[in-house]
Amino acid sequence: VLFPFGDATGEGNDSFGGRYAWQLPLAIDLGARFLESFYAGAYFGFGFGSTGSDTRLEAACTDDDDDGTNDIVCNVISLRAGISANYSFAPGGRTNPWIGYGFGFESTSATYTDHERNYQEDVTGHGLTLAQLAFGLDIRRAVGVGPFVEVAIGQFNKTTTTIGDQKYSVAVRDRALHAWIMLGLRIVVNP
Amino acid sequence: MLQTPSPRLPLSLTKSALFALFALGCSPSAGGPEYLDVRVSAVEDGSTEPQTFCVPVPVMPGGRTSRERSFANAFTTKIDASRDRIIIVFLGILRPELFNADIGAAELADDSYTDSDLRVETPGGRRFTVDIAVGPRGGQCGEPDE
Repeated sequence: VLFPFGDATGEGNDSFGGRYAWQLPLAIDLGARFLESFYAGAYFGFGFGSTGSDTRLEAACTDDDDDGTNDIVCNVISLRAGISANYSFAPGGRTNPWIGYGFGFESTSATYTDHERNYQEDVTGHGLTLAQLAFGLDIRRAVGVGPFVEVAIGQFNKTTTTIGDQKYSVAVRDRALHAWIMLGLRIVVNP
Repeated sequence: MLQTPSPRLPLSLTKSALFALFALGCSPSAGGPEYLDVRVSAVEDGSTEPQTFCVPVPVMPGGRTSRERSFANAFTTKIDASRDRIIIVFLGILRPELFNADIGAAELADDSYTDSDLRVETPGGRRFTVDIAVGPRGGQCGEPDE
């Protein structure tokens, strides 16, 4: 599960959790081990969830006509990709604690769709993942399985707003740090 | 095959059904906010045809729409809109500080804003009447211009 923290921008009352709710993520790392304890590779992560706790956004996303049809739909998709490195403390052991660091690019898109009034708006924040810090514990058999915690600290530097077929891209004037905190289960093939 | 006309509800019955829907606390609309546009229009003295420049106001936090447009190759207007703030800047006119607008959340609370009959003049002596308006989308203009 991914949880949002920090601020999306420094432009006043623009918290990350206000824009985005928690997400269900899926991440894939592809890489190779070297010098026994080290791993280096590339990561790609995807998350899906709903819009955040901002009061006006919650009100906007509420379909209150009770007709059984969801005329107003709000959802969020996040993407992250980059390179990462891990260090294993017990690479030959059955139980292997590990730590990791990565960096790369990220984007998070919130989409608001009003089917009844034919209105669609998409706001995508683009930026850098400055530090993706992770630690976990693998229980190794034929495959390794274990829990991990990951904190991906990033910053949006551009926002693209699409309303209907019109697209507007602007630089973020007042940047701020945000984080996705992931609690999950890791499966390692060929550990 | 014999076709019978499809039955139509009498108007009074339709109204009754809608009234009953409201009485039960149900709304026939899904809700959602008012979708707004910012409009700047300008008419040059001696002309009758206004040029209009529209930009939608985003609904979501973090959404920003920004466009710049030249009016009759005389002056330029830049609109920068978010759901909480709209900034309109005029370039290429005399004393732009009198006409530039910074419309805040309080002024947008009732989903409308107007500032009409602004008389602007370019350094070259061309004069225009400019209107600024924020209001429901589609009511004032169609799709925003490039």
